[in-house]
Amino acid sequence: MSGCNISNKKLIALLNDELPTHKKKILENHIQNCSACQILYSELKQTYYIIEENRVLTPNPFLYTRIKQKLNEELKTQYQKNLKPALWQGIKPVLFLALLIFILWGNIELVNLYTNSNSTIISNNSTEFFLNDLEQEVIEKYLLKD
Amino acid sequence: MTDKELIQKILMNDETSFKTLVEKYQTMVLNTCFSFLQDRADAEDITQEVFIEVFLSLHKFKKNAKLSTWIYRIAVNKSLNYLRDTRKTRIIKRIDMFFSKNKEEKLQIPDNSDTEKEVNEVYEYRLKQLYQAIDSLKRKQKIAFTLNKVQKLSYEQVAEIMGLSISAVEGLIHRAKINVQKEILKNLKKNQKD
Ligand SMILES: [Zn+2]
Repeated sequence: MSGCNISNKKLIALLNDELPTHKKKILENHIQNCSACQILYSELKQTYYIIEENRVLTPNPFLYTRIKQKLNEELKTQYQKNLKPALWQGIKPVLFLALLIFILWGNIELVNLYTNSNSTIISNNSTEFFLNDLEQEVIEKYLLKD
Repeated sequence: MTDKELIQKILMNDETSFKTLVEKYQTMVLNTCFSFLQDRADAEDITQEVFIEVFLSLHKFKKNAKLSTWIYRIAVNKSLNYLRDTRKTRIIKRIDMFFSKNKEEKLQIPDNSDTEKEVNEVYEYRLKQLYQAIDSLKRKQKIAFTLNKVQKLSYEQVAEIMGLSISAVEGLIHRAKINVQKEILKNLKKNQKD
């Protein structure tokens, strides 16, 4: 092999019958007399041409049963996967409504509490305020008269 | 029953029609997967997955398209994805086999021999060399070459499946053929030196 410089390109061209006649003859002649090239070319040819064989497999008679079984499992997991978000989607508006009612109710309670306490404060202070006002007015009036 | 009628019935949840579809296309799918995977058990697993995908996405199938072409595409994609996903384990398997066997026995081209067992070994060796070479091709070359040379589909059929022109497919197959032969020669020379 060491003294032989036949390129892969040439061997491939010979295999695919893509060489001009005179070059083809020279190469074929060389291969006949060079054992290294002979082995290489013959091995390439026999390896590559396995591709020409027609190997047809017959399907397993239980193929459909297996597909059906796998498909059922797949559909089951898909259903469970879809069920969780669907449940959540259903619960979401209910939760939102409940929160809204709670906030509304809370506000009403707060307003009630505020108005109740305020009204007592106002009623407690109101007489004092008027009394003070009255006292001040009286003092001023006295001062003016003086 | 035509494919259109089959599809309509399956979409209406008719189980027997799905069974008919599987029976009609199972040989085609199994052999397509096998042409890429070169392993019967793997090809059977992927065939099952192909039909499950067909069933689950049949509603997406365009009515004016050809059903066989669509199924071919699913089979090719699933097989190539499987090859991609298992590349690491397959390489490790190869290395394991390499170390478990005698190095010389593994690497030397077996001599032509008379006994049936040895003939089979030589054949197996060559088969492995061939499919390792095909495995080294780029994706598009691998699809076109495998569908045409291994699965024996016409250029027209390959072009339809790949969504390419016939001349583009011819170019891919020609380049793939040269690359496969180059790879076989490269490995032969490497093994001769060892
Ligand atoms: Zn030579």
